[in-house]
Amino acid sequence: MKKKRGITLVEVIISVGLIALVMLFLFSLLSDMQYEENHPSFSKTNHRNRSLIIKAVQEDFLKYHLQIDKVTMSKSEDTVTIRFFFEDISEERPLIVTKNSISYQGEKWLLDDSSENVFYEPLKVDMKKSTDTEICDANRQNCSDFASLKISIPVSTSAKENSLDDIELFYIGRKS
Amino acid sequence: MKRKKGFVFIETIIVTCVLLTSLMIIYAMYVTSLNSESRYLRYDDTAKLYETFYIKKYLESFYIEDVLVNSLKQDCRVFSQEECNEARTCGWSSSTSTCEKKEHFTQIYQGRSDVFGNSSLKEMQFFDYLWNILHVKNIYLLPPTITSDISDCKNASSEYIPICSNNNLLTYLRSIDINPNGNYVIVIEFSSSRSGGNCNSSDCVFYYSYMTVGDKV
Repeated sequence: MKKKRGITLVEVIISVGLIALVMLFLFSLLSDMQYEENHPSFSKTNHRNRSLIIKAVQEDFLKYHLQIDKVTMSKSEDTVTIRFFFEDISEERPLIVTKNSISYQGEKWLLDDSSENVFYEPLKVDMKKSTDTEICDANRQNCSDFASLKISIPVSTSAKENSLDDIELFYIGRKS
Repeated sequence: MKRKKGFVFIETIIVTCVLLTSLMIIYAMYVTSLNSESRYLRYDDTAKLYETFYIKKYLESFYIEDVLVNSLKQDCRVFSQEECNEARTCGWSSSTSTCEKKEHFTQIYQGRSDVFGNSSLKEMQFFDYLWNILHVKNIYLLPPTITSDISDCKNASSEYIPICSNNNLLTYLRSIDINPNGNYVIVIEFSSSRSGGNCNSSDCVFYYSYMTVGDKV
C-alpha cells in the first residue's frame, strides 16, 4: 500500500483560508490605525496653533493685568471680536474669531483645512465674568475682591470627545 | 481499509480556537493602547495648565497653601498630647501614647470648611464657582514622595487609600515625574462631560494637571 506523504489539498485550502481571514482582520486593524494617524479629527497643526493662541493671550493676561470689567464681546455675521483692556499699558487688544481663523496682536492662526469638517463656531463663543468674589485668607484677616473671566471658543470637529479642541481662556485676579 | 484523508474535525476546532485566542489578545492590546493614548491627551493640557496656575496663584495669595503645606510637614512625634490634638494632621494614639501622623496629603474640594474656617461662605461660593465654570472636582496637595508612596498601593499606609482607590488619579500620578527632593505639588482633577459641560457620574471624563508649590511661571 502506498503511504500518504505531505499534506492534502483540502488541508492546504483550509490553512490558506484561515491565514487569509487572520490577515484580513490584521490589515483592517492596521489601516484603521494608519487612518487615525494621518487623518485625526483635529490635526497636529491645529493642536499646536491652539496652544500658541492660548499662550499668546494668557501671557498678556499675566504680564499686563487684565481689567475684567472692561472686557467686551461683539458678534457680527460669522465673526466675534473680544476686546481685552490691559491696565498696566492702558491698551486694548482685540481677539478676532472667524470660522477658519483667530487673530491676535498681528498674528493670524488659520485652521488646518486638511481636517474635514473642522471649524470654529464664533456665534457659540461664551464669556463668563464674575466680579463680586470676595476671598479671605485662612485666618480671615486679609480679604480682597477677586474677579474672574472664562472664555470658551468652541471648535466643531467630527470627534466624539471634542472639548479638548476648544480654546479656553481663563483669568482670575484681584479687582484692584 | 479506507485511509483517513485530510485532518479531523477536532484538529480544525483546535487550530481555530488558537487563532481566535491570539486575535482576541491582539485586539485587547490594541484597545488598551488606544484608551491609554486618549487618556494621555487629557493630561496637562495647555488650557488646564493655565487654569491650574491661576488656582495655585489664588491659593498662594492668601497663604492657604502655605498653611496646609506647613501643617503637612509637621513632625508629630515631638508633640505633647495637648499639642497633638491641636495639630490638624496629627492624632494621639492611646495604645502607644505617642503623637502620630494621620494625614500626609490634603484634599481641597467643594465645601471644605476645615480649610477655610467656620465663616467661610464666600470661599465655598468661590469653590462652587470653580466647579461650575472650570469643572474642578478636587485639588490635591501631595508630598514630593508621592510617586514612591503609591508605587505599591496595596501595602501603602492607610492615608493614601483615597488616592489608591481613584484609578484615574493613580494612572495620572504614575505618568508624571515628580522630583522626590522637591516641593509639594498641587494636582487638580477636572471632571466634565465629553462635550465640555457639567457631567453626571456616568458620562464624566477626567482631566489632570499639576504644578509644584513655590515654582515661578
